[in-house]
Amino acid sequence: MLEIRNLTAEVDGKAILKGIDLTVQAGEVHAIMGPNGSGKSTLSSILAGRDGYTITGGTVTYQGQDLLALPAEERARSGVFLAFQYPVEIPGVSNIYLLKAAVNARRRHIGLPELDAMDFLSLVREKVKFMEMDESMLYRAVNEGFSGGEKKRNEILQMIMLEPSLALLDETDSGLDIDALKVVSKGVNSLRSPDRAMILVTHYQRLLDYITPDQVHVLSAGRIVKSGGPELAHELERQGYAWLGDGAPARGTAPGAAR
Amino acid sequence: MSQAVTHFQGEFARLAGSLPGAGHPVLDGLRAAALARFVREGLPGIRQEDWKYTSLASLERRPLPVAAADAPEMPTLSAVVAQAVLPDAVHRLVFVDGHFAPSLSRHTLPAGVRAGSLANRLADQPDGSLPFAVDRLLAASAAPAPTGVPAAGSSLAVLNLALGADGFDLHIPAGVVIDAPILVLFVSASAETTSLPTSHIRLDAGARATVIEQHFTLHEGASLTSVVERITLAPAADLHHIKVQHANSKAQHVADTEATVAANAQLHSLVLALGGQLAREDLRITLAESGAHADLDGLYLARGRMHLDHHTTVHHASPTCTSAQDYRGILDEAGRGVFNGRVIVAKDAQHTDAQQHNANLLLSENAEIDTKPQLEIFADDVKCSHGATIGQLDPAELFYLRSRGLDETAARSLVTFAFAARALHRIDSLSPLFAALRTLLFARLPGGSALEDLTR
Repeated sequence: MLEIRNLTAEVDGKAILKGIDLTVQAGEVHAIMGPNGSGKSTLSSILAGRDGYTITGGTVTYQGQDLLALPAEERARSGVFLAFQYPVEIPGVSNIYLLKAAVNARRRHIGLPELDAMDFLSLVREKVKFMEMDESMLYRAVNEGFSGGEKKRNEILQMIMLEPSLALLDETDSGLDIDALKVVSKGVNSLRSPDRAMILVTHYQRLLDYITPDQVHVLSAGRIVKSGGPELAHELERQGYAWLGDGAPARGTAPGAAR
Repeated sequence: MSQAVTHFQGEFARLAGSLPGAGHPVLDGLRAAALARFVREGLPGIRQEDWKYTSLASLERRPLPVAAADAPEMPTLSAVVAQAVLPDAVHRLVFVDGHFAPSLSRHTLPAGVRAGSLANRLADQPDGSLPFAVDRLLAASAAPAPTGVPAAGSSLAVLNLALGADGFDLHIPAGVVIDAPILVLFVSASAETTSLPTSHIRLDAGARATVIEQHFTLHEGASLTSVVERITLAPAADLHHIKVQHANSKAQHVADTEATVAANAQLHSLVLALGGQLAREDLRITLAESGAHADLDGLYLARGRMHLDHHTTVHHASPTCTSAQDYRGILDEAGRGVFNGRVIVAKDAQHTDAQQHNANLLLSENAEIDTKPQLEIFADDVKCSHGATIGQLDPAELFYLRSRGLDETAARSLVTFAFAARALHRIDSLSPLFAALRTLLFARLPGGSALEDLTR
């Protein structure tokens, strides 16, 4: 599904990623953990195609194509989805409007007919209900005036509507209370399937209590310094990031610490 | 003597005898005095601070004759309704070239509500109509207003008093609530003419209404529409006043609107300037008694070589009044915008809450905006804020949309539309009015036609 080889990238001349290697197979869920500033969000932004990063080396292959050569919108249409850490507010554009535009852009790309208004509406209503959201939010402006939890639910709603092949969740658990975390996890788990892959980027282990990853990677100072199974997340929870030693910043905060 | 002065003197000589109420000594006197002020001052010029960025030179060079009451090209009802933001409006009053067109109008307003032609009132009861409100224009000379007092209307607005024959006349008695919007269409049907509609809106205590005023051209030539409008809200009255201007790209539109808001009354004003080669809106609101409130939303969308100028004044004359202003501009191609917003808080107007914001989106290197928010505070216990921003499209918003599969062009169109749509925040986004305004915006925004498909 996704193969990252020796990826290096910088922002404003400062190296952020210093050689990432990562292979994610269809059906797998990978968690990328690490202290603040380790490059976690940079990695998900680069995969989704955000501007402002200079790729200085390496390759990213997604479903056999050179992902880095595609503009952001084509990545989205071919099934890459980024759930934002900070979802953007877009006043004046209703949620349902954006959902419809996004779903139809994806359907056109894969050769499916656009959904008609009735089919679209019944589909979106079902998903809204599943995410335990109020239907009225469909007619509100995208993320405008939403609480942190509502924004994150909305990201997951978009995700389950778009049914991506590769889902990137950037700190989706941050700012969520326990109820919202459960709903968001339910949404994510509902998408797990043999033909889909997910990368969860997170600072804390908490999310992984609800979404069990197949593999956990620790990112530190722009490199993956350790990989393992789900038990690695628990180890990090107990010991913080500092024990990683070389490559990990000494003042890394402990995951799970209250803040 | 200036060409415009000579021209309108000639028009006065031609038309004065046929104006409604002509022969009534007080009216005749007012009109003569109004003309005298125009002759004395001529058109406003760029040496006046208020007209620094907006030149009426083309009007000076080529003044157009005042349109006759019976337009030679009287439009058909379907041509007019096709342009209306609410084609099915039950209350529809149509003015063609500034003159009331009863054959195109209809309404089912309750007895006691007066809605129709100012000319009829002038002709029927000139005495009763003399509190014309416009005499303030006359009283004011070219001398600047004293500090802390809004200036009166310009010398151009004075022409409406001298030569204006008709306009929209609305009076809603105390306690009457009109639910359905009253749609007032000002149609410029004859090219190469000047229209001078003068409108009066009066809501007595506790009355409520929504008035949608729409100004457009049904020709492709030059024309001037110069509007004078006076709004009076008695205590606890509530008026939604929506003005949509979408004249053709050769037409000029100038408006001088003044509103007085009494105790606990509310004025909700929305001005959409979407057309015209040159359009200038002066809006002066006086919050005259305590508890009065005004909110002012505005949107100007200048492209091609359009020049759109908004001058607003909110005068907090009494304590505990509130005002909130949000004007936003989109300047594309070689479009030019001017925003000048004054908020004046009088010495005794304690506990005033006045907010003002002007946001501008520059989409082209050749576009231009001159913005000047001004606060003049003479009281000491007030909460006031003002500010202006000028920027480009937000890259974070663009990326968010692209990451959902929208291409760059669609994303740019959508973010631009979103910026504009914030001006419509008081209109129910599921209402037919919102849909009609959205269509008007889509037709004028880059890439808007693609967005229109998405809303179906």
